[in-house]
Amino acid sequence: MSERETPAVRLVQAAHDAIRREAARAYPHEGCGALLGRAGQINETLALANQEQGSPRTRFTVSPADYLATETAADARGLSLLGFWHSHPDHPARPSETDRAYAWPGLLTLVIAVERGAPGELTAWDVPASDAPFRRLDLTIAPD
Amino acid sequence: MPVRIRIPTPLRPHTGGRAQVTASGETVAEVLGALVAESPALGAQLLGDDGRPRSFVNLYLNGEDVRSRAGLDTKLVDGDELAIVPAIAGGGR
Repeated sequence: MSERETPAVRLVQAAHDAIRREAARAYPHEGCGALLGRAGQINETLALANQEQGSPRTRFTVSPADYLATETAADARGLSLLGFWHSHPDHPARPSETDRAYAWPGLLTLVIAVERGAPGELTAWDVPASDAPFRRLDLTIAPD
Repeated sequence: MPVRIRIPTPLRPHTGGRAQVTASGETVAEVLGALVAESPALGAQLLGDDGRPRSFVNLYLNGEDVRSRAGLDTKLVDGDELAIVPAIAGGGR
């Protein structure tokens, strides 16, 4: 953890509910989606198809076409693409080395654990620099 | 020739917040070189030590992966749009 003050993330209740719902639906595969909002507040999530072909129970992939379509939609609506969430079926809500390898500074990573089909802990992370480890962020569920 | 380049959200801090910039070149490699010359901080994000795009960076020309064409040597024509697309992936194990 950094000794500097870490940014907090607000997630509106409806988006929180949508992540839990989609993560459970995707089980036993990993589910994933985009996080849209403004200035540290996630206002909505867009569920995306997990395009991972080899190991969808332990990996997720967002297609470049889905990335482009999501970002274009966000821009058109005056929202920012704040990051992505994905689920860890039967695994803790902690980012893995694979998650770190793909993480981009400037995009949030939310991870939700799904235990035997039931959505569990949801955590928020970012990487402050391209060579930095993940930093856990305070995550607050806000009213819609 | 000038080509439009779509900048993904995580790289926009390096383009003054702009989602689209223009750069000139006859090939994808030349346009990327011009872009990085204009915004050097982008280089560390986009390019590896060998000067080639990192594996986690996808380049789409008019909606098509340049790897399915001639890669960095793909020729550009007037009106082309080059999109920089971050690879988004991960997983529990």
